[in-house]
Amino acid sequence: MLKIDNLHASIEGKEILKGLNLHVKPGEVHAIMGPNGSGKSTLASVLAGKEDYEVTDGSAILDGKDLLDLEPHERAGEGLFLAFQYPVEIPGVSNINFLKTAINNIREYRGEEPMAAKDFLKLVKDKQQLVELSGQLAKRSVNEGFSGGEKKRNEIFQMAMLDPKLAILDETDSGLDIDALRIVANGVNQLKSENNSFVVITHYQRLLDYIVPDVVHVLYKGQIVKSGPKELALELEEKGYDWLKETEAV
Amino acid sequence: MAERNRSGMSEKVSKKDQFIAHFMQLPKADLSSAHQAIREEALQALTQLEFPTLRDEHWKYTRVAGILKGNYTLQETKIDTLPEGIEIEGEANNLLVFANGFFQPHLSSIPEQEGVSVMTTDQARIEEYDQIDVHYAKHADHQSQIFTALNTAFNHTGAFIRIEKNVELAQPIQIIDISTGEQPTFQPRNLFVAEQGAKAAIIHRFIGDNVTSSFINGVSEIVVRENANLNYWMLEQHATNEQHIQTTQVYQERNSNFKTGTFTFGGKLVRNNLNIAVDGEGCETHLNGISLTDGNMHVDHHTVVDHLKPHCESNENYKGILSGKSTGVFNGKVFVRPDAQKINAFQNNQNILLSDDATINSKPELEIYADDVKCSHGSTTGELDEEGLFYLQSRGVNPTEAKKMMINAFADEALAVIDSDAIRHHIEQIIANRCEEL
Repeated sequence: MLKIDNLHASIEGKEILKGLNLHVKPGEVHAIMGPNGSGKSTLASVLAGKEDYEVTDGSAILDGKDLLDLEPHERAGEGLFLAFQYPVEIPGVSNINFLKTAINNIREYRGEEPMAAKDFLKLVKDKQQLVELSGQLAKRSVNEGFSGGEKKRNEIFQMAMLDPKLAILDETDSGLDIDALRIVANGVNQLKSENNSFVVITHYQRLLDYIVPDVVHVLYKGQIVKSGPKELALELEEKGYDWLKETEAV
Repeated sequence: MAERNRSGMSEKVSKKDQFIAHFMQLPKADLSSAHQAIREEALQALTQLEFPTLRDEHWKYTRVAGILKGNYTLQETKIDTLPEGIEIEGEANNLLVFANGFFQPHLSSIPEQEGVSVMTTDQARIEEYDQIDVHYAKHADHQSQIFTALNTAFNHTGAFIRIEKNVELAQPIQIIDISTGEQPTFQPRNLFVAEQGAKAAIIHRFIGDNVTSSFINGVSEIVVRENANLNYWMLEQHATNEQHIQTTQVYQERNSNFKTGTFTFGGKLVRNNLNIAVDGEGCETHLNGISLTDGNMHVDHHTVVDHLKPHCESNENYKGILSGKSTGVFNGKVFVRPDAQKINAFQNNQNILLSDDATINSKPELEIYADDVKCSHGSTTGELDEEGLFYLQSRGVNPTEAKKMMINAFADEALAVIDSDAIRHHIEQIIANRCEEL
């Protein structure tokens, strides 16, 4: 599904990702953990195509296509989705119109016909229930005046609408209370299938109680320094990240 | 002549004289003796007044010298059909059509309604002389404003709309001013009167159609009498080389409600003077505008809201979306006179620059002489929100659509005041279409 090899990326001349490798198979959930400043969010931004970052080496192949050659909207067309750590508020753009445009632009990119209005409305109704998002929120301007939890639920709602092959959740758990966390995780678990994959970026182990990963990676100073089964997350929670520095010292 | 004269002042006078002399030669409308006397006044004023230069505070950013260079023609014009695709979907076709200032009866359709007079001003001079005479040239200032004087001296016709006491106009009336052909000039003179308790909406559209270097100098006088409710939406869709000075002079009596929007989408030089005298208690005034500019366009919105009486509210919201090498000007002034206590006046100008070479000059001003008022003004200028654009694109929205969505969202605030869905959608569509080119 996703093959990242030797990815180097920098921002304003400072290298953040220093030869990152990550392979994700269909149906898998991978967790990426690591201390602040290790490059977790940079990885998410680089994959989504944020302009501020410069990729200096490496590749990120999604189902045979190198994402790094594509514009952000084309990456979405190829089936990539990024749930933002800080979803942007866009006053005046309605959630529903935005999603309709997004779905139809993606369909156009794939050479498909636009979705019928009736089908679209049915999809909205179904997916709203999935993340327990009220119809009122769906109709409002994108994220405008949403609480932290509502914004994150809206991210998962959009993900459900767009049905991506690969979804990256960038610290989706940050700022969520336990109920919101449960709703978000529940949404992800229901969307999980053998045909899609998830990369869950998180600082804390707690999300992984709800979204159980197949593989846990530790990102440190721009590289994956350790990978292991889901138990690794518990170990990290217990030990913290100081051992990384000690390992480095040795 | 001018070339030999080294004094700047004399050269200017000479250019003005040439310009006025040119208009003197053009065909003139026959006026009644009373209006002929007003024309004489305006001609007299023209001998004293000068065209503004950049040194003039109110014309600091708008150079009109280019207008004076044109060699304009005024010819009886008849067009066979309306330009394609100008229909406002979902809106009744109550049209009053002019081409280069000449009335086009065969393209106009004016519904008969009791208590509603819709006709050309020259027709009104014959049929409703008393009604036009009460207001004609009583509000717009032809003594000190040179473009108003020019219009008052040389106007031919325009639209006259009068809604009688307590009558509600069933469907909005559209005035369509089409400019066409080579270097036309025309000076439409309109008068709209909403009598006590009347209610009406007027749409005024300027459309350039196969036209080069026009000069349009329009003046509209609008009277909104006690308890009346008037909406006036102006859409300026000029061709790239047109020059247009439009002066709209509004007089509001007590408990009246006036909403207006000035939406400018084309032209080489467009200057909108909107002056509203709020001369009664309990009035509500909304004035909004949008400039959507590209290329070398220059669009100047100059507004004055003059609160003369207490207990009124005015709300102003102008948006600029500028690209290419275009220039925008917003100069909005709110006066609150000494006796005008308990005034709520809000003024807001926001601009988005889509290119490095676009310029906006924004000058919101408040001049307050009363002490118990609530007034605010603000101005912001920035770029399209990059974070927002990236967010939309990361969801699969292509860059053009993303830009369109963001621009429409920005403009929408200035359109919200329009209570007709048909008109609002029409303007949104114009903006969306224009975004494709930006």
